[in-house]
Amino acid sequence: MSRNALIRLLETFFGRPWLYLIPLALAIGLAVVTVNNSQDEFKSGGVVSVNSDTLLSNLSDVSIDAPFTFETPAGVTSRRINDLLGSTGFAFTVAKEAGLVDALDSGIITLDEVRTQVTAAPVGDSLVSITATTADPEASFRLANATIDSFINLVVDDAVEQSRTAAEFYEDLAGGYQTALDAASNNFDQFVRENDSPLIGERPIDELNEIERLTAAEGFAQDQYANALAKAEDARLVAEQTRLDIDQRVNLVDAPEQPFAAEPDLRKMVLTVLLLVTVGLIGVVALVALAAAFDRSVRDRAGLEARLALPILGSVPIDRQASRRRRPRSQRNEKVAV
Amino acid sequence: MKLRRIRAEKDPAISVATDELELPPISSPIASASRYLSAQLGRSDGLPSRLAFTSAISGEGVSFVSMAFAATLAHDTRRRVGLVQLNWWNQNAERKGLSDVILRGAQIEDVVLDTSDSCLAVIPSGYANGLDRAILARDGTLDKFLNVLEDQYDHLILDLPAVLLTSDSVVLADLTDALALVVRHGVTSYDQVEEAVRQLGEDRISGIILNQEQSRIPRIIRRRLGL
Repeated sequence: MSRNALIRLLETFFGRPWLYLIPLALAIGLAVVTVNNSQDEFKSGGVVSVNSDTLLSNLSDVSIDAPFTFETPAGVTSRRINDLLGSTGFAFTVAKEAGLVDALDSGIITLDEVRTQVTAAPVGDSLVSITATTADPEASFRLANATIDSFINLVVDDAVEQSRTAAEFYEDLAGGYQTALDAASNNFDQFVRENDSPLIGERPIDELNEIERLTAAEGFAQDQYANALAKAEDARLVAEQTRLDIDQRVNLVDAPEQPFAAEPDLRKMVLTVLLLVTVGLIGVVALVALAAAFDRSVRDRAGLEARLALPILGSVPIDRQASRRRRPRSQRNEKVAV
Repeated sequence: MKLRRIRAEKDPAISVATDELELPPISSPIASASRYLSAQLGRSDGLPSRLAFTSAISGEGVSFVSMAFAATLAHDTRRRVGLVQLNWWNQNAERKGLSDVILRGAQIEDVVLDTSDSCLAVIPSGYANGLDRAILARDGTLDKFLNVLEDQYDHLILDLPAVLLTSDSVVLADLTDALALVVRHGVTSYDQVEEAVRQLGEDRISGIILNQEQSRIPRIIRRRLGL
């Protein structure tokens, strides 16, 4: 900013300082009203440990073998929770877990509000704090719990998804095999019923061959069915093992508790005041700049010299004594000799 | 605060008012500014015998500046100074003046007003209507009259009307040796000043005087920023 422009801005401002401070005064007034009208907020939060290697890999997709990163497990996990809260599905799951579906349906609360009310933040390298802040202590408590539960369920579901899919696949396969086994057994029984064993002597060779074929078919179907059942069971076992593994490794350090008293959010108050004061200051600067831009009057020598190729011979200061001697208004219209 | 009081006591105002002439006293800062102007205007060839003050628009304080300059010049140099008011747009209809001498045959001795300073005299403009003003400015009689006054006074300080108010001021400016344009701080716009300079002619103007200059920036801020 050039010296002339600075002088012009300052001259403009100090010409009517109270006028130009109006935006700042309004902003301060708005800040006071906002802080005074801010609702009491109740905060409920829990702390989850994510320091287990296996848990870490499940919770945050960060494995021990992952390349070097500056992000801590807690940082990655908290970021993932916040990212998930941005999705409609997870936010709705949290709201549903917290019993807020009716409130959502009736429009009392929105998913966006749920998102802003719940936050996850790292506490050190391995702890994640999940906090819910609402005007209702019960809602805060339920939201914090719901977020932790929903997140862990999501992680567990992700981990056992493959095993569960395998189990379902083999169960479906076993169903088909069982049908085949039943058919083979029926075929055998029917053949035996239709071809009774002779009272004397052995069965004819063709009957013996058929019985042998039917028995082999039934055995094969039995093996297939048993094999499918075993594999389905194995998959279920793996899923359950994974679930148990994660359940055992999840270390809820501090479970959310229902708050009994509202907590003044000093940070939010300070931020609100700072934001509004900044807006007010910007308004002051903008107003002064606007007024200075529209003020075409001569206010400084440098500006005059810059525009005219004429010397400034001097300046006559304002005659304060003359101002004090100013005549009463009733006499001002009279002509003065000079 | 004590220093200011002592200084005020040591620098009394220049007072030239008489019973028949209402002239405000020239305070110390105004007198100092007038001395500075005098030094600047007389820098190259000495102070000219005819020096005129004018402005772009009316209300710039030309009459006050020319009066203060004349009073200070008379007080300091003890030379005879005549303040010739040629601003018929800011006239006292009841007081006789130059127009009565030129148009109505009054005697010059009847219109010259002496002041409490024996070196300073004021020649009022007198009354002139619109038609008379044009004649006064253009018919050449005024120039002859000023020549007569030059014999009686060492310096003639001419108080001219505003340039953008009437074209007469451009004509009257030709009657002077030096011309100073008074610009009122915070009132006159750059465009008005530029237009006045264009009409008068840049080469005819000795310089610009900023009148009623007053910075609204607090002194402490000015000092800090070196303004």
